[in-house]
Amino acid sequence: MNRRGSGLGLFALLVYLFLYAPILVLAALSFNESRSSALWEGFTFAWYLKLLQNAQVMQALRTSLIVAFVSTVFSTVLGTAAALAFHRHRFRRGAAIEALFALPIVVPEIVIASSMVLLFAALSLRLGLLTVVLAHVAFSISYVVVVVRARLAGFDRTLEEAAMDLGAGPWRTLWTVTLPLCAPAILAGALLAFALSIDDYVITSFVAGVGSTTLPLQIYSMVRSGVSPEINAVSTLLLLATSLLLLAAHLLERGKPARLCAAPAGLGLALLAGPFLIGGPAAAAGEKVLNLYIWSNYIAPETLAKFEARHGVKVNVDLYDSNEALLAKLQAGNANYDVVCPSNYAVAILARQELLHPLDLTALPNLAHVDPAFLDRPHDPGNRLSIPYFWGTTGIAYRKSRTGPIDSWAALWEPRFKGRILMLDDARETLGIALLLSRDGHGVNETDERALRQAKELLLVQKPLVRTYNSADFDQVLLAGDVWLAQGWSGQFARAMDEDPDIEYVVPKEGSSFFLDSLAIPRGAPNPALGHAFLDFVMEPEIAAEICMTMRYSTPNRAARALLPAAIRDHPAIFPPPDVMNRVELLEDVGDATVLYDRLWTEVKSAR
Amino acid sequence: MRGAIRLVGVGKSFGGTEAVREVSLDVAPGEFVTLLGPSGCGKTTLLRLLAGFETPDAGQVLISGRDVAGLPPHRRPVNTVFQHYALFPHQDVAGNVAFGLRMQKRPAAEIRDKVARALDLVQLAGYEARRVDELSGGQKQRVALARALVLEPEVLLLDEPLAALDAKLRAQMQVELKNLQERLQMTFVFVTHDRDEALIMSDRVAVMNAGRVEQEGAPDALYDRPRTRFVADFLGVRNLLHVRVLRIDEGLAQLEAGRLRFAARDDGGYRAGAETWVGVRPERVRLLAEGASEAGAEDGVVEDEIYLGDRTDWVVRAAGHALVVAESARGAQPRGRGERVRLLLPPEAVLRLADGDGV
Amino acid sequence: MTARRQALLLLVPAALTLFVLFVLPQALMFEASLGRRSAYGGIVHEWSFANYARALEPLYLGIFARSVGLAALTTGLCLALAWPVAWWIAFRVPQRHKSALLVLLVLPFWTSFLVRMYAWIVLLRTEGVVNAVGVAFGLPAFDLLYNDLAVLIGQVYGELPFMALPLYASMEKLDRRLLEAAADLGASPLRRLREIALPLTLPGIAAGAVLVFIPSLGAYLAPDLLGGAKGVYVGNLVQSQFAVARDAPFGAALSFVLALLVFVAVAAARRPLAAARGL
Repeated sequence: MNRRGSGLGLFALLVYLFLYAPILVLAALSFNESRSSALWEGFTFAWYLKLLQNAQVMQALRTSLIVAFVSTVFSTVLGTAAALAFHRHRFRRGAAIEALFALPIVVPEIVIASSMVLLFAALSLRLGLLTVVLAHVAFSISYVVVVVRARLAGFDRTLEEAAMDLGAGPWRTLWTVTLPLCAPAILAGALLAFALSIDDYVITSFVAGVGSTTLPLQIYSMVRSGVSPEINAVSTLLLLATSLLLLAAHLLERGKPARLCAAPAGLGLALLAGPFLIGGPAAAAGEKVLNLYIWSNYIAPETLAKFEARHGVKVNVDLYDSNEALLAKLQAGNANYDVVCPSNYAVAILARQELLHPLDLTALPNLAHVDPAFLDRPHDPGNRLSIPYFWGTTGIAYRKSRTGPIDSWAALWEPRFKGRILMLDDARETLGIALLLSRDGHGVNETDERALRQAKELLLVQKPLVRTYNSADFDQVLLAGDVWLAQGWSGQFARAMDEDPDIEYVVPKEGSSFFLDSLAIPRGAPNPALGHAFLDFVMEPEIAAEICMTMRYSTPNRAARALLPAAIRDHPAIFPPPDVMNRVELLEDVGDATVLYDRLWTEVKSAR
Repeated sequence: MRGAIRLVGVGKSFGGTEAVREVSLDVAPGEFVTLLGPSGCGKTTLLRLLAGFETPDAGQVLISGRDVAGLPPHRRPVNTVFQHYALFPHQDVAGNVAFGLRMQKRPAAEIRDKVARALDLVQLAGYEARRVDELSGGQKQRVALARALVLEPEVLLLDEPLAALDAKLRAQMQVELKNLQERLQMTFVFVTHDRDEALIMSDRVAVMNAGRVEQEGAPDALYDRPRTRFVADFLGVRNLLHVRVLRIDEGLAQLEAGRLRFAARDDGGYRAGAETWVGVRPERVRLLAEGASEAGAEDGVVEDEIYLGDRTDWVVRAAGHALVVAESARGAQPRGRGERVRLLLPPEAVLRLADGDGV
Repeated sequence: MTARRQALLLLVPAALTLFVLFVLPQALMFEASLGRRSAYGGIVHEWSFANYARALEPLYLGIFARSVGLAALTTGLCLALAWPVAWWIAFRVPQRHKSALLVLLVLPFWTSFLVRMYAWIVLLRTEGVVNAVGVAFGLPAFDLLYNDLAVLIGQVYGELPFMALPLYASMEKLDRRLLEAAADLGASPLRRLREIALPLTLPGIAAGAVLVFIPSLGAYLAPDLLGGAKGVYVGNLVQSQFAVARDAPFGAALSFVLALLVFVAVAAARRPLAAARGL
């Protein structure tokens, strides 16, 4: 090989390195002892064991594999048939048909996703496994068609003619000659469809419903606590399984004997079948099921297990990471949840649209344990529709060795912290603190356009200092050392403080917002009685204390607080002192001003 | 009638190009007929019309006395040996040969038996389990043949089946194919662009040009008496001359092509004063030494020599025409370029040709 | 006739699926884009073109321009990285290694895109892997994350195979004797590239460009995760209309403007594709 040739080879090697660097990193991290650090702290298999015990991740993996398998079968059959049709015949309206098959490839995912939601709602199709599979089939077909057609383009047609000549009709020719010869392309198309399905987040997140949380959805909702090593472990295993299957296919194509290919193929399939063998989906026939739709990291599997044991039921958990996702699902009217967890303003919206089931307070004796300060709030007078579950404040967490003590939002505008500031990626929270800083007595629920425009100007001034806007894993960014000051929510920061004593949390003196997340039963819930039982269950002092211990968000349950260890009971981020409670304000729905908030926030973010 | 073919006024065009025009042809049962012509002459299209891969725009196709219009390929009593064999790469030799029998849902024992016999017929006994891509070109050819023959078709269609073989193997296969056909008494319709192949193997040859059958006949008749300029050219009559008929006397037509004058035996087709084409085979032209005084000989100069092993072709310029003269290797004398010779076109060697729309 | 019937029978199931799941929803979407947002985030079906007028305001046009810029840069970079690699596989690698190398190009795509983006964060962050290696060699630590370069890296990373595979497909069909002929006729390596290799791989370039450009136009995960959400791209904008502002009508209008952009891009790529097919 000449000198120029080796230069090209070196370039190719670098590109492959570029492709595999992140893969190597995630594989390495799955064996790293440290949970959040990128630094190597020793080899361990612990995350793989934890993965096996993480019922939610395993369930999501099972769902993903089922969806991927079913949608791959359908899209491969339909796509291969269509590719054969193109191969066999020149259609008269060829251009229109080609355009139809190009649609899934050229229409951006986000557009596909949102339009499918409209369709399923129009068909009043219940969001769930079926809608997810339908969507996956739809967007995979075209890719299968492309791959199989490419193969058929080089197909020797006289082979088909020979078959017909020897007495095979059109269908038998297809079956005995064309299909076997296209098998590698069909396999390639199927693998592509499988990969597209198992990796899809955008479309799935829009069309998923009860019991259809796929792995990407699960991963995305877990991102709040950083991609945990368990996720790296599951990714590594999936990659390993696919590599083995691809290796088997490769060997087979090279004409290696079948028993040589059987080993990698078998191992790969075993890895994929594994999740179904280890503790398969429990819900036996006739068993009652509670469908819970809740924020990620809001309830521990152990707590759910207690409820399942006590009532002899199975709890199905689906996760979301914004109130808007919840609202969209409930407003579409085709989700089937028994219990949901909207924030206070979302409760107000749902109440006005009569999307919540009225509560029977006699079935909720444990409501007596809840601090009255959180009851009978404007968003739900008399708690006829919801019960408080968690609350928390918005504040600043900071690395005190770098910044010194902080007590004002103004710190986030200090030039000496340029490039070390994180702000939430959230119109209400960012414009909210800008409003608090403006000294004209504006609150976080301001709807006056002039005040909001002034607030926006303030955020524009701040933008050059900001390292990143992030409302998912802001605590992890702080822990990793990328920023020194971060605006964020108390519960996540409380966990960060446990990990790193250098981190401090403050609700600044100008005041702040706080949120109250409630549990409610949607109208049309399949099992409202079980829903009531669940609501009462989480208000039991011991249970509420356990939930607070595991999740570190503030419980509104007075009796539970008394049961907590001092470290948590007096934690400044979890239970701030009373004076803090006097300067925080609940975030309310701002109605039509939502559009204005969004527009101003877009202006801030798109400024250079 | 089994194995007879009748084509009546068959026409087929593809997007405005007429591939086959008004072809009428009769093939008797057990006959070996070759469709001969250059590429694009319509011979393969004609074969595909017989096989059923194309449907004619006009005319009738009858096989064994039955009109096969609307009959798809898999229902026709014909089988094809394809140009590049079209063996199924995903099946072994036995699988390929058994394909048609399986389509007919014959019992396994019968299939095994027939496949063995068919392979035996093409001298490939014992090759059942071979993969197709392990076979040589000649072996593939035989498998393709066995695959078609095993179904005992009324007519076997062969589309340039020997084109991909080397010269030696091809010669061998030509003989084998011909023997096989005679043994089986099966109707063969053979397509080729190779003149020698056609002449060696066929009972009858149909020369095609621009979608038409220009001339058909037994190989020797065709060779001796091509009727059109195209057929003559295709069959190796390399000296083609446009002539004017000066007069006809004593059974000889006196012809003139520019300054070249010569006579032809009058077959009754010459008309004094008319213009026509004639042709003379290179091997029928006689070369004489300079100064030889035979009647009708012309002076010429050797312009080029083409050595072909068993014979030598000389290009001789005489009376403004470059004529090709062939001499067998044994008879040939050494001649140099520029050497003066005399050249004679014997009247019985001059063939009168219709113009045709050939080259 | 039977061949036609058979072809129709084969085509109809897929065509019908696509019609019901793509064409119908787009019609619903168009209807929605003419409506307006209700106070609770529902759709009021009073038709007007107000949302389209709003989509064409300078603020949003700027975001569209920025997205086109990112998509164009991504496409260009992908081409620059993928072309030599595809060439290397097509012409420099022994036949028996080719399919393995191609599979290796796509293998990373069997892990979640999200997980791979997070792996990039681990690589690029201030105390991340790249800086750790740099510091070990005595370099200062850089802020590699949360800027436009990081977005570009993530985007190129995500789209590279979609450029490499069509390029390879077009190169595989290329007769290498043409290059030898060009060399034989005295063309320098650079001229051979310009006069033979590039024009003849144009179909692959056009196909790859379409496959990379379109998804890049709608990108929103890489800008959010690697860019620190400091820039807004159309993808983020549309996503936030549906998922944050709950202004589906405006989101639908933006989607249609985006779709229009895509069709313009595809039409632009059609010419070289059609021309190349005529070769």
